Amino acid sequence: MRTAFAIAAKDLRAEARSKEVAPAMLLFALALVFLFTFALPPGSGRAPVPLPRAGSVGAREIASVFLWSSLLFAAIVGFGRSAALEREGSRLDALVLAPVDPALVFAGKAIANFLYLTFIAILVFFFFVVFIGVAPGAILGFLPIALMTNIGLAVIGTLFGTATQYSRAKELLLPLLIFPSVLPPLLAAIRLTSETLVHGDPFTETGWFILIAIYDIVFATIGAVTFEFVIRE
Amino acid sequence: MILVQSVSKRFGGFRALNKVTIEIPRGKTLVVFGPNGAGKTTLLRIVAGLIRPTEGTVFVSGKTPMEARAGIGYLGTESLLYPSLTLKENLRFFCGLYGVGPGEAVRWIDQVGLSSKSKALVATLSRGESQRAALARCLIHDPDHLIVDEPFAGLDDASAAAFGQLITRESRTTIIATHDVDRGKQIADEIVTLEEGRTK
Repeated sequence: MRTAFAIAAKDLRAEARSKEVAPAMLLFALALVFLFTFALPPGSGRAPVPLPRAGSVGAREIASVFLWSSLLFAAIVGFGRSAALEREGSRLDALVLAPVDPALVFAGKAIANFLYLTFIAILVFFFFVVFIGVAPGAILGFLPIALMTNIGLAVIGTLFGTATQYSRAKELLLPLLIFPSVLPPLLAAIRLTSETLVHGDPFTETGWFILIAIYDIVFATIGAVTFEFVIRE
Repeated sequence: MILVQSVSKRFGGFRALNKVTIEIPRGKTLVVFGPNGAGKTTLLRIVAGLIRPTEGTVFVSGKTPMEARAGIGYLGTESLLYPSLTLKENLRFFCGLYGVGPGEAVRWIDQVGLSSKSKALVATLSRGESQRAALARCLIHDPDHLIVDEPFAGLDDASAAAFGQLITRESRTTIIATHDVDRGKQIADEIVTLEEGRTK
């Protein structure tokens, strides 16, 4: 795994200097959060939760959908840019040529993407605190959800981001591949975040966590096994 | 020893290489000449293991190029270095990938005459400096097989001569593709000319 961490560290160091991935993701997420929360009045994140009856949806439940939609769109921007850094100047060739297991290259790229996503997720959460008054303490419930979901998003984004880099319509192809693939963990994350914002505790619905964990394991395995074919011609 | 046996490569309907067979004995330098589009780069990328041949086989010391990666150095037309990292950071990263000590990074920076640029971002290097930095990258693990595509392009006479000395080493099997006939002939043990994907 030392190779994977070296690749991730290289990506993060390059990003710290070039600032090509995270600021683009952050700006995109911020714009979306601003647009989404425009529909919700300030402080609605602390508004009383309506009784569970047909047609009643509280601002906190809607906020979880807005939050994860913002993260997903920002993630797609980041995945494309992160993969492009290796494509430009044919730098992916250097990783293919090196005597390292392609699965470790995949892991390294996925770790870097995971860290970008988690950084953005925390900032986006605080945008919601500022814009609609979500309770800051809810970050404690949101963080485990974000960490688990971001593993799956990073894994699938790394795989498809790299796979689409050499296609002509990569900007179109990447979201087309990612959106349906991430639906299961995204729905689970929305449900769990909603629980956190409404009741303050996501751990009452462990089934959703199990779904995310299964998704993470399955796609991490698929990515590790198939990445060699993705990076070689 | 590098053995290329009846290798063909098609990209869609275009045949870039057509049943090319080449044998390079251990320690010899083969120079590949040919006009643009003759298939030189495709041949080199197949030998390096970057692309698979459509037909035929390649063996590097009896192994497939992918199996022999640890003993292959490849210098293409791009430096394959990360522009927002310093030269030293780049080479230390590649030391880690090839399992050689980080001291090799400093040694090779000295060897290619870029000591004063070790803390410079690769993006700020000139074309000639970038070419020398790329050479340091591809030699950092002291490979037994070296594959070099157009090494003299963009270099002045002095740099090109120094470059030629650095890439040749006893017992290293080398393939060089170049347009520079004079310089190529100086370092060649054997010469092959490619034309429209075939050896002449």
